[in-house]
Amino acid sequence: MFSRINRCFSSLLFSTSPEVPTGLPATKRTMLSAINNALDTILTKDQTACIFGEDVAFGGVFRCTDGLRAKHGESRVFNTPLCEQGIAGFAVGLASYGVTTIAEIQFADYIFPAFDQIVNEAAKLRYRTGGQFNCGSLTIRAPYGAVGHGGLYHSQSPEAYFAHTPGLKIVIPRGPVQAKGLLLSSIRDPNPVLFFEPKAMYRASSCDVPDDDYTIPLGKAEIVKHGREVTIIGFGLQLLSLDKAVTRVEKELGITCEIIDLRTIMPLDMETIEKSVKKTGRCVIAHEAPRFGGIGAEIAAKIQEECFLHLEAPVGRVCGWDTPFPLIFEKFYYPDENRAYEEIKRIVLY
Amino acid sequence: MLKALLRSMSYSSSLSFTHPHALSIPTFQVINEDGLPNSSSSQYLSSVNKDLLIRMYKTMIEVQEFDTLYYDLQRQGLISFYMQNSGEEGLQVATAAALDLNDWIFPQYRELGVFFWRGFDIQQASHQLFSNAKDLGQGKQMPVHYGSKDLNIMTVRSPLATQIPQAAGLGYGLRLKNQSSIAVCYFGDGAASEGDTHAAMNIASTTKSQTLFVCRNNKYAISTNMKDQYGSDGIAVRGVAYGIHSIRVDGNDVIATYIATQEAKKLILAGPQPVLMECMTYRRGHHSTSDDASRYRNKEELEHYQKNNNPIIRLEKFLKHMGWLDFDPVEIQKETRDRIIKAKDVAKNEKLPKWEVMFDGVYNELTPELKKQKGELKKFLEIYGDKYEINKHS
Repeated sequence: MFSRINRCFSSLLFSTSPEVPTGLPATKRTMLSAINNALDTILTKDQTACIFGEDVAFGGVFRCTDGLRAKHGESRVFNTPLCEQGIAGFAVGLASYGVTTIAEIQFADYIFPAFDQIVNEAAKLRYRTGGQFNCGSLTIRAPYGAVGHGGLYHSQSPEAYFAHTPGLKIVIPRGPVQAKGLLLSSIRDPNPVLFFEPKAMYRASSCDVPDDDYTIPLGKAEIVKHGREVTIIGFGLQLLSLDKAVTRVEKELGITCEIIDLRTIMPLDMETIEKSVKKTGRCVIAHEAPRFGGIGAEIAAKIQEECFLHLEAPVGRVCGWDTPFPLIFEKFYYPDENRAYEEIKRIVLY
Repeated sequence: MLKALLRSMSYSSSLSFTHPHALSIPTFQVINEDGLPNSSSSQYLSSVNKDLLIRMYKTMIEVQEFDTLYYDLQRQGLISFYMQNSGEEGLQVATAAALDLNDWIFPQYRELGVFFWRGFDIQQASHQLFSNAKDLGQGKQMPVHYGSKDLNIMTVRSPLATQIPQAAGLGYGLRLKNQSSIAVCYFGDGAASEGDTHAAMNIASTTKSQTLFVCRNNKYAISTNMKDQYGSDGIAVRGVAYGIHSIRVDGNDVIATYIATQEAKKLILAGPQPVLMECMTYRRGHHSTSDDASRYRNKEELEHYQKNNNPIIRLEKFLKHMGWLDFDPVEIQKETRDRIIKAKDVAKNEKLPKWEVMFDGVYNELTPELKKQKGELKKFLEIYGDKYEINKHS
């Protein structure tokens, strides 16, 4: 499926967002190039901002930090020892001193040694100190999500573990334009932010990304397609499957679907979701992470709380199965456009 | 790059294993357990003076009396929890005395003397223990979780050793901003076993952080004695393994600890590079008010450290030896206790923080969801507030 991202050009993944100013000079960029550009922008404007993590110095295993060390110096772009808890703890400390701190975890699958520092420390620092201290200038970036051949430990979507922790923000871009704007906002947001980058998107085609410094607000979902009969909610690479599924559903059932890209998982933009579901009366939520206890569960709970009398059908979910992420079975595991189509159809015809 | 790779390879034709105690680090001491200077210590005595040592003595008495009162108050149910500093007052004030307010402190939870030395007064500490509206921490954490932005003391936290890599990071920030100050973290022999300790020393070493790691080896982690905590020659040797300058010091000798801290700071700033200091001491009290150490320690051991290797008594003896004891220790103790009782009464009578504060600080501002939840609780308290003693809150 992933080799097809390039060939089946999805307008949703490479679209702009309403908050992005139009008519500006732009450069064709892949997602990784857009991220690199955002990081370069921060390091240029903020003279003590630092980026560090495993293999960050030579450009990173995904090339996101390519060229930054040569341009901004060894003291600001550097390798750490291979130790996620050390990376996270060091980052919390540096950020609590007020330095703009961008820590990279090489794969989201390896974020767990850092879990204590993220959940017990970063998330709670402002709260437990009565506001005397904070690590708001901390951003932790990690590649996440299915890539076609990653198996258990190069494919995970860990957002749900962290969404359950008050005090963190979680941001996931769908394409190059959003990656730059959301990353700039995340770094500048005065709260610790986890920025998960869909790794399957890093090199998957490119689109025009404004050269300027622009931001896309956090905590605000985007309606990427307007429709009337059903609300489809997703984020990151799922927008590709959903785009294809929706195209088929609309043709075969003669309806229109409203697609929402969450962009920020935490804090959730329930206002946009509620308004849409109250209009359509039906909802399907999609994510790669396992079904049980995933983000879809929380959104479904909130929808039935706030929109109960407007619902014409249960809230549907298209998710990974409740198994670890398998290698050879990825095609059966991954919630793709066919699984999304079946679930949307089920909810629309309920 | 190649030179560095080749440097570590020096071959040997004889097969031998390096013994785990091949590196044996001695304990630096200036005054002995009787408070008298060692024969070769005179070179170090010029680093201290009468006023400094008397201030150290009085601060240690403050810690001791504060501990005594609040341990009793917890037992009486006035506060929920307390942790004493008994036996470690010396290393607390001695390390603090060698630092200045531009240095950052990352405490564990048994460093009250560091707080008092830096100006965190008895009243503020009392407010925190009563979790009242004047607590700088807004009543969010358990007692003894003090912190002060003004004094550059990072608030105490319960998870162990998480402050250590943070001190490495902040020490790097100080280096980045060309500050001639250091980040100092304190941790016990138990916390030294946590992964975060290893992670911190390794990253401080490679990034050359301006960080001082101070291990309070007080021989116990709750009930766990040193022999079940580590197989190495204490914690000081570990620093060497990470490429860090390391020293072991008699933590109950305030003069040795003071001088070692001064020299450690100089060494850190000269690098820049981190330094590890292991202070040998003894936890005379229980782990906390939830512990009863008599279940795992014998009376002889306790009595030894109460009488013989007690930092307060050792300093008192040294002051007497130098003819500097120009005050009555009993008077100081009484006067200190009176001040602490007065502060306790003020803190006890303060209202608790407003309930709304519970929602503050999760983020820099309330999210829509938090506003919603706060509204729900407000409605709930309008009905049930009295059942939750809402009038005790401001």
